[in-house]
Amino acid sequence: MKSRIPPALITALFLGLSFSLQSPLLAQNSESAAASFRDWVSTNHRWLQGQITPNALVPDPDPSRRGLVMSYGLTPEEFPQGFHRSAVYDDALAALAFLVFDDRDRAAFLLHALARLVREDGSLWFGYNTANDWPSEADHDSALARAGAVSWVGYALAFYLAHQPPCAGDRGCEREMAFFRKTAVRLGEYLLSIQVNDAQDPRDGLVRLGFGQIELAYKPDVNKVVEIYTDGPYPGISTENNISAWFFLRQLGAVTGDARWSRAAERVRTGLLKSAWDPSIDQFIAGFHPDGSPDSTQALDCLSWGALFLAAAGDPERARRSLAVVSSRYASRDGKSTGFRPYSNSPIYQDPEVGRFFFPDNPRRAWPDLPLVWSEGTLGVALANLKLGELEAARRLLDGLRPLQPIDAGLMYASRDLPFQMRRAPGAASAAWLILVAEALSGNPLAQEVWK
Amino acid sequence: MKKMSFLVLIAFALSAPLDPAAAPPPTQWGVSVLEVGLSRDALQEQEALRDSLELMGIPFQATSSVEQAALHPLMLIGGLMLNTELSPSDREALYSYVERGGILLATQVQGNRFFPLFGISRAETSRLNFEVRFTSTEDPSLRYLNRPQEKVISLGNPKLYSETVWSTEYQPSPGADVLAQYENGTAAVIRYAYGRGLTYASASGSRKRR
Repeated sequence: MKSRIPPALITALFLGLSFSLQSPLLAQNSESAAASFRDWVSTNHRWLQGQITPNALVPDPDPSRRGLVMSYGLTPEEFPQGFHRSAVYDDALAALAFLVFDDRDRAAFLLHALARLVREDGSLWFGYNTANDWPSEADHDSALARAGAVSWVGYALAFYLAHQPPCAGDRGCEREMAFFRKTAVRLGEYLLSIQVNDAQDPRDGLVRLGFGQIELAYKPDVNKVVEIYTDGPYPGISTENNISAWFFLRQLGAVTGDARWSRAAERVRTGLLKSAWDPSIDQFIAGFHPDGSPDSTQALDCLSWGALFLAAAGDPERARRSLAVVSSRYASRDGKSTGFRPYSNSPIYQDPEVGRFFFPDNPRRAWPDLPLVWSEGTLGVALANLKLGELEAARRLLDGLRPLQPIDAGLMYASRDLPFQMRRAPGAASAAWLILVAEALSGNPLAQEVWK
Repeated sequence: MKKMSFLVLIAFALSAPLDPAAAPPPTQWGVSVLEVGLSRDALQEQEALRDSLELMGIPFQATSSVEQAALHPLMLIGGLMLNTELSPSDREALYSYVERGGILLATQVQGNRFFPLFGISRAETSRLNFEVRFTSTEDPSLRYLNRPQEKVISLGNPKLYSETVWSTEYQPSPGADVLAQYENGTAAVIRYAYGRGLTYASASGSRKRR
């Protein structure tokens, strides 16, 4: 691995130098703040490395799953069935985080691990067990495929390709580049296969969710909440998934020079702006139900990722309007941690019977009633702030998450557990997001290119 | 039988140094032989492989340590690739070696824990294959098999015998290249790009058949 001076260190030195001209005490405080920031990022980087299988918890992974990142820092006792599971979205984020941290080989090998799993139709399952071979084509009960997760993997591949130095005759490097490019194209083709193609349909150009659906239901005979799985293509549409698809297809167009991808990205952009933007609330709606009716749920990601999309698509004013309402709609506090919750005003569990099981006194308990801070979502807002030049706001959001940082692990995914929704556990997604945002904030030019 | 392995090994061994950039740095130059297993069959395989390399004048380091073998850009496996032969950490070291750019040639890959490394989805043994035909012309390792007599290798005469030597039939995974086939169309030699490296799985071993 090449030697590297972290941008955070440059920032620290710069700040230290400039403050030292004025006040030695200020310089000392600034240096220690920057060092503390750097340590925070390094802790998460180190933890993410340790999540790659094989590791202490999964020393002998299924050989087809080696190299994937375990999504949570959970012990087998805490989550016997899923402690070793790897969500491909988390893997893609981790690959990006390794890349911006100049940990190129680790990023590449993680991308190889993902690329080897691409299915015949060009999709990926949403998550893979690492200790065994579920899901497989022979057994995919309760497995999902989602356009958003596919898009993030595709984006990570295309981003890697876009920032790869020339191979200079290295055949291994050339094979790698060809394989990544071919895989990104296959993922792109999967998205095209689920894109709505009907000029009369307001959803025209948007990509559907993918495959499989899980709904929660209360089973009185066993007094449990269970997941009900629908096995088949799922025609609903997620705004968040489409934003991810747009970033991927646009990057793929730039990397390959193939106008097919740029056209597909443009169709997604048009569909989002025409049908998913709600001017009355200054944000994107959640998407569309399978029957085509709008899903007006107000989701944090649709606002924050929506702002990132708008900024990148050349509409920073609308992005700013969106961000201006984020605090009034989603701000949350849990103990000393501050940030945002995932939804604005909807019930935590849509099905009242399910809600009654978890909240007997208030089955329709809504998100504002729950003091939960969602790290990953909060970091999405921070990145949007950063892209719009609101550096201080981004920094404040990061500071608000510090209470959720364990001593020697990844950043907690959320401030509390919420069955089937959130986990208070070190999360690969939150750790990777932290690295991406903090590095961008520290002036790392590669980090600043992500979702630009 | 020996002739086929002999020619294939020549081709693979000689072609590997032409791809030096793919080797994992830093390495000791040349070929390593990873000796796998202590069974009679395995020991005979290892002896035959060493004999073949000596006969061809190719210097090599034979070792049972994956760590030592991985210092070389080309690694040949002496023995049968069964699930029981390497510990999980040694198996991981082998995967990692190829992932980082090493080139690995093995015969008789039969343990499914090794299948993802070689681009194999299934392997079955048979005594009914009488011919191996090299079908690929694209792989640089096959450029020395340039005469018709070298491209088709007999494993026995079906007019004289109902069965012949053991061979392994591979079912390739998506992305694997079939370099040679048996007369029934199943794969006899497979090449697969794993990470930055390459693996070759050959159908039959090196040992002398008596």
